[in-house]
Amino acid sequence: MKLFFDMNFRGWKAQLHFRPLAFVKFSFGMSAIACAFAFDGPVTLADTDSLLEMQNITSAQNLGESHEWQKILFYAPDFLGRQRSIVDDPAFFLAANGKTDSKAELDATLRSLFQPSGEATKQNLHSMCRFPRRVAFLIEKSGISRERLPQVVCKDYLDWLGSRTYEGVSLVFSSSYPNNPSSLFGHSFLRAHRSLKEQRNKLLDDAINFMAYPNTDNPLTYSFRGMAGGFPGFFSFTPYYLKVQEYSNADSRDLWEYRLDFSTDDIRNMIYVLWEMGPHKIDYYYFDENCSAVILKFLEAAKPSLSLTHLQFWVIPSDTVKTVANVPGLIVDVQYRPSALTRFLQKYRHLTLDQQTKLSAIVEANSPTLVLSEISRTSSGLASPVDQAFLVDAVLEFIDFYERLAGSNIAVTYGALRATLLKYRASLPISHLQATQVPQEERPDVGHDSSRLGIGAGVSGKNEAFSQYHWHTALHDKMSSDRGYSAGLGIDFFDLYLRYRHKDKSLQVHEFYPIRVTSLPNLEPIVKRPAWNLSFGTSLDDSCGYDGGVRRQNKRDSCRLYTVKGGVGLTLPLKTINLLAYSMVNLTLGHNNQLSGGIFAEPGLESGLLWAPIAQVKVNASLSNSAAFGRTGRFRIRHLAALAGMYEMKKNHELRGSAFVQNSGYREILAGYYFYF
Amino acid sequence: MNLTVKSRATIATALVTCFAMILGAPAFAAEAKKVKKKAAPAAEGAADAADAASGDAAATGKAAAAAGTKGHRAPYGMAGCGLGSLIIKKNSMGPQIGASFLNMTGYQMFALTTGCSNCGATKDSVAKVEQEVFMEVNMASLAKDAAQGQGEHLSAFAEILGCGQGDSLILFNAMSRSNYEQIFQGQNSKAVLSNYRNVIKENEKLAKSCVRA
Repeated sequence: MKLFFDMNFRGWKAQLHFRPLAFVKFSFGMSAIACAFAFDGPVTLADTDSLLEMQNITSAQNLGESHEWQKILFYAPDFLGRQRSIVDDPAFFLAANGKTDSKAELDATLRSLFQPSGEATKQNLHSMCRFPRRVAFLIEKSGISRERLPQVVCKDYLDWLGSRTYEGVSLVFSSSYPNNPSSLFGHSFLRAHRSLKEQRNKLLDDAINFMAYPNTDNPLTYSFRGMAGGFPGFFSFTPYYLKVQEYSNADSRDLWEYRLDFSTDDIRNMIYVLWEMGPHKIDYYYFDENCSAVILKFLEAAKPSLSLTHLQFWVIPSDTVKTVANVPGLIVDVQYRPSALTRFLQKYRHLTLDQQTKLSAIVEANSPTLVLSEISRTSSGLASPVDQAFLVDAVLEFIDFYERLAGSNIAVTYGALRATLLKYRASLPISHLQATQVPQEERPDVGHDSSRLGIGAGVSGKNEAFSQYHWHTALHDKMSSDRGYSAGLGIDFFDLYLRYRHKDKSLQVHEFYPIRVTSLPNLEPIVKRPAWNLSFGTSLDDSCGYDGGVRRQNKRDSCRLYTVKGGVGLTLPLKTINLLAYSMVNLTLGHNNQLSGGIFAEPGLESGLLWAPIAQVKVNASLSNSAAFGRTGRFRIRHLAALAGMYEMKKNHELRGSAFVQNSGYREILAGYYFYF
Repeated sequence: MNLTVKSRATIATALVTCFAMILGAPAFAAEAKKVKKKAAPAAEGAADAADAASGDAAATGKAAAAAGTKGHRAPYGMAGCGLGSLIIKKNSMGPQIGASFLNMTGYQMFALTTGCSNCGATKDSVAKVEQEVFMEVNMASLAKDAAQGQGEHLSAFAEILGCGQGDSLILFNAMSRSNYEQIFQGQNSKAVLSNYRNVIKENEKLAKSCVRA
């Protein structure tokens, strides 16, 4: 390996010294490139007059402390409200205190720009080349023409950008991916459009992404460091087709592309920001300095007139889209790119019932030898080539979804079947392309906001009144309106319910769940996506006193539980009436403060119906049965029947009601109002 | 299992090939070292391609130089002469996935840089590398589009080959389907690419319109 690189190294030197043609080609290329900050001219000495003039203008305008300049330096308020840059690499700053003092950084930048540019080989390291975004900003604000700044050849930049130009930029949101906890909330990145003309292929555009580069395989340190800023985050610049393979195909996540109202100058500035940020790290924090927050800062640095960020302790990807959608006129176009799963489902739903049955049989049999006779025949005779093409395409999409086929990977389970079908498909004289249907109801910017407050009142047990106060950070639960969200995925994050009991005037944490996830996929059974749930947190069980089996140490009715709960199961959708039936086997492990020995395990079964007769209404009826075992054996069998309803008055405003009854005799009824913000 | 190993080797090969195109992958210098280590068995295969790719683009040699110099870190700038860095995750989660591309994961990652897009209407080495990378990253999708006789990946590939729009795209699509079996033999993306080029050469009109093939 070493030899291989060394050889190239020598080859490069040889080119430098003996191949002037390479330079001729380069110079020619450069003069042809409309690159605003680099000129192929003679090296000039520092121009002190221009420097002084620029210093005077910038200090008169107090530019060093302006929000616009601070945006270019990626400044954000910290938890004490002080402005400081989120960039964690000292090399990004020219002043020693540039991370915290934007004015000092501006002064240092100006001085550095007017340093003599030196010999050609060192010009690449000149601040004119390293900080093109700052240069563009200072020129724009000071009115000093570019010709009065040092003339420097930025070869690396020109080599990097090549002859590419961009005409547009889109914010891309990928829907959440329940199979990977770090992407539960979705992801957002940017797509730089080479052209706005329809016939230019979008796959060949480029993607700008900010992501963490984890340097551990240990899942525990991984989660901890992911939240505590232990991983460096960098921008990357890749072909868009890579992102499509990654998100649409490997992960089956739908992509929504929001094209932004960016002028040619804004786009050029964006590329400057990308170059300027280049290798400089921003420590990645899962909650606040994550892909979404940094992408918003990035857009602000490109176009400082935008205000997209404000002090907050968490930013989630769907918020990015909503933030951008809330700026009037910023979104000029919305495009949708279906995931492998969506492509399959759209094709599958287009098939006749007969064909759907046939598809299931083909997948079940997985027989490359029998599949062709299966496809070419119907119950009533021979299938038309069009019908065959529809069926083959649907099976192919199923295989690609099932295998998470991306890149040049080979299908493992259905490899031979896929090869046979592709060959056969090529023999059918039908170039069929079914138009993609855009599921408008899932457009992420139309969904409710992520944080939620709620107030409610109810009656529990022996007619004891209580009032309830609720707050959660994010995002969406199974009773929330599904508009703008992937149907069936509920994620509660820092979910808190306080209850004030009027009888004994006590305020208590009724429930606190740092995380609670319920996935009830509302999909055709052939997809075989399991239902599952996972949660941990604490809750107050007011029904303890109603069960003779509990070994209580005092006479209070409620007991404090700390639990971890998980479960898996099945769903069965009845699409025609928007009803979803589900059933899950659960296991709860926990601690009960009124139980001798404390710890318990509680296996159980939970089944229910989730019905959305219209988009604004949801009804959930469920039945749970469980048995709890402590150190001394079984102490409780519980049967619980519950009914819950939600009515969305308008976006972000919901009324909810619920009631349940237990075999112990305990019951509760509750109504409340919820507000998303 | 064999397939997984094979596809890993293929990807490693592509990584090394593309890596030769790096300008000064500064942020990814550390990952670059990993590529060198992990990709050792595939290196021989890649060396040919990399040599071919080094051609006359001065940047190419410099890239290799940057990678070959121990501990080298360019002081600034993004990686690559254009297409940027490609992160491929080795997936150990399920047998049916050879490799997938993923964001924030705890698995082994590789970084590399690929060739330039919009490299002009020439059959130069950069165009060749770009085609190889495209084929490696999109082959499964491309095969499906080719068998169906049209699709976004097929159009993108035609554009990379410089085939043009309109009638020549229609011809390219039709040719891809009618020669599907000949083109998509085997599972090696480089072989498929070379089959593709041969089929184009055999067609008088396409040979003329696909200027970068």
